[in-house]
Amino acid sequence: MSFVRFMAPKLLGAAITLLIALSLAFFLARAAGDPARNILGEFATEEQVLAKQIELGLDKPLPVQFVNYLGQLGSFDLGKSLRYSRPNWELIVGRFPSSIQLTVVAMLIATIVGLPLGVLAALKEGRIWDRVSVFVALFGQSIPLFWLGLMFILLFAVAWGWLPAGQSGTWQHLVLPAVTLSVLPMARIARLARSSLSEVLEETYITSARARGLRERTVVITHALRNAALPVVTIMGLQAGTLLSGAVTVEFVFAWPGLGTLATQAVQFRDFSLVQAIVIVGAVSFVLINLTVDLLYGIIDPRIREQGS
Amino acid sequence: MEPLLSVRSLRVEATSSVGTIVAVDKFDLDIYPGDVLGLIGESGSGKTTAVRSLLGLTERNVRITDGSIYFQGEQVLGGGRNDLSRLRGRHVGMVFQNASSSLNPLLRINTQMRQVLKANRSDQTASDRATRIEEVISRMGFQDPGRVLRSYPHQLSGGMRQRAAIAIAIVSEPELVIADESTSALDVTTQAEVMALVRELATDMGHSLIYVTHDLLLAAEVCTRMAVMYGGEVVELGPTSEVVSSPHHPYTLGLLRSVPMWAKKAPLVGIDGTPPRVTPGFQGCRFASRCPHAVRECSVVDVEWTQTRSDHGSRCIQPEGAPLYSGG
Repeated sequence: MSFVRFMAPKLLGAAITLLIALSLAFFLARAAGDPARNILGEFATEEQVLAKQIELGLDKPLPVQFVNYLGQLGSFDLGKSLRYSRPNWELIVGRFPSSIQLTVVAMLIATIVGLPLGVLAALKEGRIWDRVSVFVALFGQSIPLFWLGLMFILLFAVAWGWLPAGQSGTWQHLVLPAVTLSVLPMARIARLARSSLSEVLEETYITSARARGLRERTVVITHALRNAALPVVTIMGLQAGTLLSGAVTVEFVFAWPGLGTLATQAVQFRDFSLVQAIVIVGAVSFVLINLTVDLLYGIIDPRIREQGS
Repeated sequence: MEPLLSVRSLRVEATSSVGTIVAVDKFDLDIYPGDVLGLIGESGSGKTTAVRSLLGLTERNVRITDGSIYFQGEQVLGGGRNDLSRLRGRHVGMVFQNASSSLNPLLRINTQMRQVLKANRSDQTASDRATRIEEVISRMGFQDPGRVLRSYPHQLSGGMRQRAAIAIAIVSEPELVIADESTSALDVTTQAEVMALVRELATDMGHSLIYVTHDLLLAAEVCTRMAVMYGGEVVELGPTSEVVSSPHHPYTLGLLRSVPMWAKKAPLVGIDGTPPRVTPGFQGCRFASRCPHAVRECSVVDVEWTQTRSDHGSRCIQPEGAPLYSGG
């Protein structure tokens, strides 16, 4: 019961966020000029454009279009791609597994490296691990991903020939894009884990835990880390959401057949219907990941769990 | 009787960007089984640093630079050893000032008690531990001890939290309990209840208690002996009745005169000035600059400890000799 009370406001919030995202997707797709004209090109006649507008329902007033759009979404219809003449949903489903695969592997690398690095840095403040972690955090947050991706290709694919330069298929294809994509979340996770943990280590309940004669390992793992987890879980959720809803640059550099590449192509072909659908799928994944984070909050911290009641 | 805990010439220094200060110096203390000692001092007098040092729980910039500590006759600090962490939990339990910050917010009281037993009493089985936890929690004066065990700290009131913190501190039967300003954050009624509980538990079980506080009145009610700290040093130590009725050190007298109950008909008097910043080269009595009876010598020579009775002494060059009660 308390669980329902805890999650109900979050679900409501998620629904509102989603509605706003859907509206933005709708209006932005129409803000970049007349879609019908964009599709047909500048040499189309007025009659052709009008015919296209009627075909796409663009001749109706904007509010009517919007209501139609929402109604369509309500029946889980994402529309049809203008370029491929296939349902957007099919195109997206075809690409989604690749995106998920890339996101999951990148987040795993980021967590496996970033988290221990941040924790070590907090435990050994001012020492060598601390320096290493600060360097990784700075490097990861400031380096442009397309450049890093190109450097990886130059070294590992072109110069040494250890790994394929692009496309997908085997696990070797996954290595370079996943590593490239993991750099930013790794930096964020390391930095946040460090600051959050070093803050928690100053708390009285940590001194108190030591005074109780608990082993240092218990103090760090069950007392400090769990208390430091909330901000880290938040950033992991945000990063995973961002990656999943389209790692455009990295997918493009490595010709990875994910949502990001599909989105790039859709924009190039002025396929506003497909762009809209991809934005919607991205928004939905983002909201779902954030709901999961909210759920984790409740599991980690009993105080948050009770806020609903 | 052999002391439970002996501290000899403990010195603790704190280093910061503005330099080094001596937080605790020449700290000598003997705690006997069954002792209830009040460690009195204003904030900054070094009392908290002193007791935390006994467990090696100082902050990062604070170091023990000298001294030795013996527990049950065995040396745990000094002579190249530092086994202070061995005392934690098993031999010395600590109750902190504010239970809302000293209890882990994410763990149930039961879990926190069980962890202490697991860490310190490996001889016990799981059911021994459960029995011991029930036993301790049922003595804390809770209406529903079972509910307290199942609760997270934020689900309890301030007084209940502090009682839970006491239960956690004593669950593994330490010989010594240190209560560091443990009731200061509570309202007066709750304070009295919790204080009575601490004292009862300590004396009932034959444990010793160090009660750290700035509240002279409260300490006098509870403690059999009192140690008064000033500027990182113990300036007076004796039985409570002695210290209250015939203080040897002008600082103790100053403290007594600032308590309405003891000032009696005499006007309430505060102590002028502020405590000194004690740097490593500090010379003379630390109270000299604020002392109404100070003579020139006071700020030049290092004042030795004078034992005026077998159980009462002070760090003043004219103990009992100064006209403490006249003038001023």
